[in-house]
Amino acid sequence: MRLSSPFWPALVLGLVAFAAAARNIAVLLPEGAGIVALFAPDPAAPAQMLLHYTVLPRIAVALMAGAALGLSGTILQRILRNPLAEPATLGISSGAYLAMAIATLFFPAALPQRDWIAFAGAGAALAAILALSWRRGLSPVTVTLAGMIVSLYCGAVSAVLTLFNHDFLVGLFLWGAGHLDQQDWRDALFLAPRLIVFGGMAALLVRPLTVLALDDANARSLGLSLVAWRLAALAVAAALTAIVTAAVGVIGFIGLAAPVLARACGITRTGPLFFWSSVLSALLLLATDQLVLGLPTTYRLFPTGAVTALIGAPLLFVLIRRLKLLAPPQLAEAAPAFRLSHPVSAIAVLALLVPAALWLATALGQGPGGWSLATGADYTHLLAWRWARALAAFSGGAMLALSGAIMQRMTGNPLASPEVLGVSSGAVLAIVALLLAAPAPTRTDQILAGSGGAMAVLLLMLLLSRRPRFAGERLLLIGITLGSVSGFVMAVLMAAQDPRLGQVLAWMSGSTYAVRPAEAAGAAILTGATLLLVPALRRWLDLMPLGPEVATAAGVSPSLSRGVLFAVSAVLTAGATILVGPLSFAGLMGPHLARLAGFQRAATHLAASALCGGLILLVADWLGRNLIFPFQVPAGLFATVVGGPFLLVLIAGRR
Amino acid sequence: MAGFGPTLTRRALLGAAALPASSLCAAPAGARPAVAALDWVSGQNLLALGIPPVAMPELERYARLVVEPAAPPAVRELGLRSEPNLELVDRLKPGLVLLAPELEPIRERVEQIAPTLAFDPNGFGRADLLDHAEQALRALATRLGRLAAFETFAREVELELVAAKLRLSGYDGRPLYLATVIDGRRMLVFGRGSLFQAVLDRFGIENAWSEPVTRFGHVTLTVDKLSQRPEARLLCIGDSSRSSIASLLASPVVASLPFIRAGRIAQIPDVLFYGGLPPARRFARLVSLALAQSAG
Repeated sequence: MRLSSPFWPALVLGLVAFAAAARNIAVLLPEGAGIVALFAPDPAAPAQMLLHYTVLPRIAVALMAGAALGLSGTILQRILRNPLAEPATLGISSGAYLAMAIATLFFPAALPQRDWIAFAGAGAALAAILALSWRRGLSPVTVTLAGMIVSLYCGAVSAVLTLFNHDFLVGLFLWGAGHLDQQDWRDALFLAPRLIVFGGMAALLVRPLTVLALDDANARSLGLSLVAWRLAALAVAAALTAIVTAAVGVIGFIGLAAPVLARACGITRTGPLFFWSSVLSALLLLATDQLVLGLPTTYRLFPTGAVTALIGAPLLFVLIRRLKLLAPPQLAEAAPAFRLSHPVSAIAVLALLVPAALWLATALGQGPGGWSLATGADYTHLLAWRWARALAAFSGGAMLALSGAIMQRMTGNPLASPEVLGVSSGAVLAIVALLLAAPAPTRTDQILAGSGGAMAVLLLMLLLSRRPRFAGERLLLIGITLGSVSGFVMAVLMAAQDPRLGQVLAWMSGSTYAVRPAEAAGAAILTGATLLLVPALRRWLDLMPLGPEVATAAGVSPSLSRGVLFAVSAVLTAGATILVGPLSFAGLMGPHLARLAGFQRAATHLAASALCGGLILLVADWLGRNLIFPFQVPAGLFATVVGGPFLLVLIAGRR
Repeated sequence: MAGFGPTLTRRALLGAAALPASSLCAAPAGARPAVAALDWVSGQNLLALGIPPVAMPELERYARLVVEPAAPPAVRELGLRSEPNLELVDRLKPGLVLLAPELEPIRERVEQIAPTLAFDPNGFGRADLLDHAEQALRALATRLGRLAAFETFAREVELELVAAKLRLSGYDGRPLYLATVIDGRRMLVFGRGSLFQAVLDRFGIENAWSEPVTRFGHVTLTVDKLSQRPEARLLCIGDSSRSSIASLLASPVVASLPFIRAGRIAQIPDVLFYGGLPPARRFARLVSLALAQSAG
């Protein structure tokens, strides 16, 4: 057995899981009990009841859920040829979560059928993705993009519901955080037959998937019906995720981590990869869960789904340098033939729209007496309230879109958006930590904490990016891992029923509410300065999407260009996150919209991305402030809820 | 920007300090400067003093979850508690704005509208929550020149507590688990240090949960954790979770708990678990009625 074999990590995880489980059972039943207690507990002996109805089903559920998620993640990473793909990428978990939120709020009578509600939500998300990418023959890039947007979209709709109803959704937060605790055998009996059926179907997919992992032309020349096999594989992966989500809620990270770990251990063939990914993720989840169970009872309830990220992250971090990367789908593959003939004039038109939109967003609005267009002294008075928010929205959107455009061009990965940098996660973590430490932090405290967190991550990422072992996708994987960790902190906060949760939720969803004038002005200056920098960056960005060989041949130093571009986009993301929260959608939507509109060269693409991203958020902020006055919907959420379908239609309609 | 900070704060402070005097001079009650409440706790305590705020956030939900004292229809909606609409507050031209400590990040902006006062009757972590709540409300009443209204309200609360204690004179003395059922598996349990327990302390009723709790006196638990005190009674707070209680009771572990088998379970409608005297008063009445019925 070679040292790089996944056998060793599996053995270690297995031993940890066994030791933790043995200890937990020993604590429960110190004097021991006969083997009969396992199967037929004495109702008068609470410890036996707990062993039979909580501890044992929990172990069974952890193993099955882990295996299903690992398998699902492997299938998705293979078929989408993207190491960043995981069950959450396809919007399946967020579809299930949204369905549960709707049921909790509007159809509470249906809640006992939790499994089926979640299953229906997951199915609807998958159907939407399939419908959207059907015309493009379910090509990996389209499926991934559609999945990411459906995921963001369901997430945003759930966030709106949460923002307005968080008093009634505590149960949903807990479910969403992925707690594995059991009170009977129902979930285990739900999972077992389904896992056998879908796992068996996955086994039938091993051979076709080996071929599908090649590029389209190769697969087609081998006589494979691309669409049919992709459909089958997607459906199986989605079903595996859906049954887990239905049973135990959203368990992130593991579906991403397990296949990556298996590959980092040197497994390349599809069959063994399926096997080891399932084993590793089953054991990882079980070990995490038993460790969580063994934690001393404090006032915090740690959700296993989120803790997995804490334990898996260091493991991924250590092994990631040994990872052989899959060739990611290239943007060029997805680029439309359409090019604007006069991109510069088009940019000028877009730029002229900005002052007009800024004026409209500050002058027209709802007040106590309904809609009105403010003029004169009234306008000056209202401007004091409105200009900072409008300008912050525009600058925040523009910064995120610029950052997204740079990231996407630099990595050639259409999924690269600012939040995968991990910088916004750093800011989120620091701000939440501040909230937990100080009872009433001021805005200045928050900004200092956010900057500190973002800068710490920024420095770490910059240091790592200078090492070739952490180049490209590996760095993004670390960023996503950090995102999972900040998700963990949020989940703990939500589960603890902190009365200050509302503020964090609003800020997390991209709100300009608390922005002060000086901050808005600062953001505008940062945006302007970056736009002036674009001409200096454009040669790199034009060459980089063509691949490292072309770029090096043209005299671009890979380490220098990567370092500079990375720093620029990280600073932009940090600025926007501290200002208006980690609203990532503008960072994804701006660049894609600009490219679909026909801006192809780096300079015009960057400028157009910034303008699109800025205008989207500006309009979203204005509508969010006025449509349901005096209630307000955060700009980031509004942009996603309204802009999401629009972007989806654009992607789906493209030929 | 920093240059404006001290000036604004000083002006705000002067304004706030000047308020009681000016409102005392103005003879008719209608001429009092309007007060806007940016959070439920401020609004609830203002209403208890008989001062309806000009505006308050999430009125519909307030009526459903906080219930009393009820807000009259003239109170304007301010939007979400997390983001009360400041532009609207500005248009309503209040003479004073009350906000909870968690709205501290927006204080600077609110001070541009009117003198601003942070109001915190919770005092979590203190020895006597009810005492702190009373002092905070007295300070607010003094500021607003409504000391008489405060004295009346405080007397009413005291009477309510006495009446409740009388009602509970036949209570069997069992320790109480206080919980809001979240879903079929989990509950939010209120322990020592919660506002609810501060009220139960006055009645001499022991809390059955003795493990650690958050700063706010509560903890989220799976239901099987309630097996430690078989002699206890369970009080479910809040009726938004009625359907969850059924699925909770269906769990084999819960069904095997002695106090569930013996049917020692009572239920009361929603009460805010923080916010000082008004929710404490509501809780005292509801809990004494429910327990007198179930154990009397």
